[in-house]
Amino acid sequence: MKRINKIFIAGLMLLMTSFGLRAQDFDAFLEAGIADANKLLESYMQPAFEGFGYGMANGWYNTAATHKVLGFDLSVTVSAARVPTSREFFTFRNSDYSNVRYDGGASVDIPTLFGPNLGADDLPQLTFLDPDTGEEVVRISAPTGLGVEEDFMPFNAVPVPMAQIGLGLPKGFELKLRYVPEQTIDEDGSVKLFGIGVMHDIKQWLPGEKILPFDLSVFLGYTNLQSSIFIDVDENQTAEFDASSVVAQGVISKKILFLTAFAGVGYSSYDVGFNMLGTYTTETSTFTNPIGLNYKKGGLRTNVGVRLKLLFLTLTGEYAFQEYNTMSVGFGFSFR
Amino acid sequence: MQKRLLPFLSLLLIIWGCGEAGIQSDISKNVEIDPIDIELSVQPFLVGQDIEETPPVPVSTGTIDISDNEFSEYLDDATKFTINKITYSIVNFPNGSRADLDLNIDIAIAGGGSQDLLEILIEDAQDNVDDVILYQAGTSGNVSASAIQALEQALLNSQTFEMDIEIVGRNVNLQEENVNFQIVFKFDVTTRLQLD
Repeated sequence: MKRINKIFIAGLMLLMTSFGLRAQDFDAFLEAGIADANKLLESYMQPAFEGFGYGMANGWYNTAATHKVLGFDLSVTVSAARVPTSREFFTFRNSDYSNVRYDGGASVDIPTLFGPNLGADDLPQLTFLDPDTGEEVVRISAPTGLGVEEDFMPFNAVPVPMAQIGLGLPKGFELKLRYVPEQTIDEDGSVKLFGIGVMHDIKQWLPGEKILPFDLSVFLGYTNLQSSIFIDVDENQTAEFDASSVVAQGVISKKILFLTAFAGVGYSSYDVGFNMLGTYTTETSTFTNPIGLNYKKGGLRTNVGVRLKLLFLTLTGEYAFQEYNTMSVGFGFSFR
Repeated sequence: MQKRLLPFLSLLLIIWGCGEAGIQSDISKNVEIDPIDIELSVQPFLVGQDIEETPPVPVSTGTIDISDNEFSEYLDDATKFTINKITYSIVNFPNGSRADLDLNIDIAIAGGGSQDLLEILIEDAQDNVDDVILYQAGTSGNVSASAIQALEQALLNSQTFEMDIEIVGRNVNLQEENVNFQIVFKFDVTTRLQLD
């Protein structure tokens, strides 16, 4: 998780690298205007942040049956939020930018971070203009995608790892906790995670609950991950990443021998922010807190999954249907 | 250490994500070299008179270092340079005077021997105040293809070059004995980067 988070925080540098930009021309990127820089970065990074937001909602449960009192489980999951085809490119429109333009027409489609890795011959050139004179400063190939689908994974997805514990409480309640105390990563930055979820057995309140051949619960969960990375300690420059996720669902499951099939339906939302803080000086300008990105969305979330339990060991597979369909696999230990 | 972490992580992700393909990018700049001062002269008694030809005037750009001045941070990852366009403009040509200019341009790379780049007649030089294309990649013209190739290789090798120009005024009518103006050359150059 730390690695993933640091990678997200390295987003701006990533854009530079994907552009092939070096510091001397990164100044041109900033000097073209903070609004333009934010707009371009926001579009380019969109699937990474959105995928992370969707991925955080996964892995909360693998059954609708709550633990008995003081029963508990420990589980680790890795989710892969599949980037939809529509998020592999974004449309760059000249009308949206003040000092960056595409000379080949009014608009052009450009790969996002999770788009295909295109060669320079297939990438449009973007022209960065001096905001004072309107003169061309530099022309740069649009940033390319990573081509994740082609080289790394069988499909194009944002990976999100997660670990949590669940504890059985009286009255059919179960508490779930995700917690990583603030960890300082050498002198490079810090990361912390907190998540809390409550599952409640509602089948107990239904008439004839003893004869109903399934388990039925409601679940509410919240996860927050915060991280900061020192870009330059001496200059007090940092990057901050703050991601939250809320999920509220009804959950049903059916156990047959050592297999438990489960499904959920409800609502999930995410709120992901990325800020580059501090004062940044180029040859001609000074920028304070130049980058601020925010992605926020909510919607219907439906998921299905299956858990295999061998004594205390659990193996879980889950698939969630949402804008970024998300696949999760996990393992853990469950007692009572 | 902190300053290197983010580029390192970025590079890590690029390598992780892009595998053997790496990242390819073009960086292009229209580089203006220092203006070249030129003086056309006629005998005092020919001021205001039409004359067919002035004596040749040799000028030089001095050392041009496009690679190190404009692309130094990219040279380690550059796989090729392309000269897209060479343009010129005439500035500060005095009002009232006029001349066609016959330019014979040689280049010398890294202080080596010179080779022909192009020969061109600029008609009504005084009117060419905006950039005029001398050479454009992919089009046939009177520019030596081998000289362009040599220049592109020189840029990739981070070598300097020099342009030696012989200028002859033709169909000249000067309103002063000595007319001073400048020629400004611009090189539109692309470097292709390959980040593995």
